[in-house]
Amino acid sequence: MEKIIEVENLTKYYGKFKAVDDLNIYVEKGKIFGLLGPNGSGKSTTINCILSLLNYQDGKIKIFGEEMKPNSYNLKSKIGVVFQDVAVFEELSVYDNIDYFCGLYIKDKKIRKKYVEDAIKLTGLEDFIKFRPKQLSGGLLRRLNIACGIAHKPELIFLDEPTVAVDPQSRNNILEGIKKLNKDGATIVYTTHYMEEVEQLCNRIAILDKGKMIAVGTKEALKELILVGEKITVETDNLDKKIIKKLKEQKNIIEVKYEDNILNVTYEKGEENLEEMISFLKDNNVFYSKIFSELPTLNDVFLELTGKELRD
Amino acid sequence: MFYHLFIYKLKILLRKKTLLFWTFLFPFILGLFFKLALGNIGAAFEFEPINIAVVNNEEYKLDTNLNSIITSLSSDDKNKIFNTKYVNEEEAITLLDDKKVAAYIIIKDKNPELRVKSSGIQETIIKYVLDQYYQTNDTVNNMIKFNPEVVKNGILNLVAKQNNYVLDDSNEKIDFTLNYFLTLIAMTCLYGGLIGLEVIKDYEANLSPNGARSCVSPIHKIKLLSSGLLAGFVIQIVILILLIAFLIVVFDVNINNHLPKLFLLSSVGCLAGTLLGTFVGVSNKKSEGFKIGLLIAVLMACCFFSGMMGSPQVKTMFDEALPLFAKINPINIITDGLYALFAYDTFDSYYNCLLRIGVFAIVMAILTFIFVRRKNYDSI
Repeated sequence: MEKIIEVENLTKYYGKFKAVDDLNIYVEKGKIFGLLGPNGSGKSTTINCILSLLNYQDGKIKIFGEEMKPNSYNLKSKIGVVFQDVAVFEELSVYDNIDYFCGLYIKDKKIRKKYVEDAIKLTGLEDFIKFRPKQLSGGLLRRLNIACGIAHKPELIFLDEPTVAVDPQSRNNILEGIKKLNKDGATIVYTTHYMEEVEQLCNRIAILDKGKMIAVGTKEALKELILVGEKITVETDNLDKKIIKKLKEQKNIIEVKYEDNILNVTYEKGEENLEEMISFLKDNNVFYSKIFSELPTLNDVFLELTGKELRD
Repeated sequence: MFYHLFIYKLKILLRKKTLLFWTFLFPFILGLFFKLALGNIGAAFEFEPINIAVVNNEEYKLDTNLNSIITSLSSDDKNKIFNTKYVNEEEAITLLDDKKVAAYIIIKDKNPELRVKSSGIQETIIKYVLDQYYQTNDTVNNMIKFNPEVVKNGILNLVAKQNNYVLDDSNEKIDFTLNYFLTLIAMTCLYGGLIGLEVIKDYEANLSPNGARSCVSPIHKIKLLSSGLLAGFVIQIVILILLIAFLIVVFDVNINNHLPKLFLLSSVGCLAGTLLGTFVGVSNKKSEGFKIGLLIAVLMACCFFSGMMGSPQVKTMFDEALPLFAKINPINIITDGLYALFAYDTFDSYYNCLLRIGVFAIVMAILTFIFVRRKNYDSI
């Protein structure tokens, strides 16, 4: 598979602070690549280095097989960027904002008009084209931000936390839009600290913490990296300590927690954990109102690899 | 592409209310204050003939020289200095007591005497005229006495005609309030710095999110910047034209004699102002608010040192105390250049100022370019 982005040994300092530490990643054509990590983990810095906005102390960056430089205008014409901070003009309408930024890439007026209309449709802004950014809700503003970044139909799109502080409706709209862009052929680099979005969208994921990449792969491969295989939750009253002790002695169990009438049991990988749990409860005459099972999330991966929650 | 960038930048700038207030409304409001505060002062300093009385006794009638001088200075032409009443001594005293005349002249024992009740500008002028008369009279008498030939060769006429006591000989009729309005034009030019600041902000990745978006586009930064600066410059020129028209038509400021030259210097001033703003924008990493505050503070200081906020003597004082600063203060340069247009007979000083403000603009452009040419950033 053709590699659209290749980053080798990227190291970036802010003063004495190492923001990106010897990072190696690649992004394949037509894929959605996720950069997952808590705030301050180096996701945006990595993107800005790749875009040659920021200088860096060490490493090589290639896009479309060519070294990326600040004056690589040919490469830039194939790239779309949606920054974390909303980048639109307060003085222009929704339509004019998209037209202005699209015009930085597309000279032909007719083509541009079509592209702008497509972007408006993709982001669901049809009813707001004459609105000024100030008149839009947070979610609509984020959609406008995306429309401005992707209207010129780029081959490679960087989306830096595009769903921060948006309502669920706008988030769904944005995520659907991203899927559509990918389906239409765009390669996407997506940064977020929302693991659900990464799981929903990305083909490959790199997990960053303190500027270092701690794991990379498909979500399935990442989950294979950890011990946790399943988490079973049981709602039950007045569970005896002897039963909890007995439960801890069962096979495959990593951890047992009982708080506020909620029993959380963490299992290693196994196919019959839920069945065995139900049998155990029945055998010990434990009555419960609810029981459910969850497979490990990327948060569990992050927790196990770093010892802290993704949103710490 | 350039047209696309230019038109949108024009739209953006024209919709920035705060920017338009400072660059467009503020100079007009300041001009209005100047007109209200200074308009009548100019009128108050227009020369009015002084009321005097002359005691028309026998001695005065015999003194043909003084007689002809007083008659000449009381005639209704542009040399008129006195409104003269010819009266007897008692009437003269009464007129002086009633303050209907500033002074009266009486000849006693062949000596003209000036009688006044108080001292002031009018009394000083009357005394000056009489002193000049005595001096010239003595000079002529002495020349005739020692060298009678002077009557033949015409030198006597030259001596006798040398005095124009109070004469407005200019076409332009300069008044000191003009300097305030010229400084106002200069200030308006330099307030283009706010436009320059606004323009550069949108093209530098470390100054705004829009700047970051511009920097990842495939457009060369110089092209982006030049389209934005051209839009800003066009707005500045329109504001300048409106201000000059307003000063001439509404405020009746007499600056319409050298309009092309005035416009040329002001236009270069606008360019200098815009580039000063871009330099302030790129030269430091402070917040936008700080930069705007800094620019306005610098410009107000420049205005102050150019005499906008004090009497014209304040400007002269600073020019003498800080000659180097006076030479590089852009508002001072423009004000001096414009003043030279209306006050001096030659344009040497005007062209000197035009050159200096041009050099200032070029220096600002070079400094801006040095900062902008930086390929990427340490942080954004």
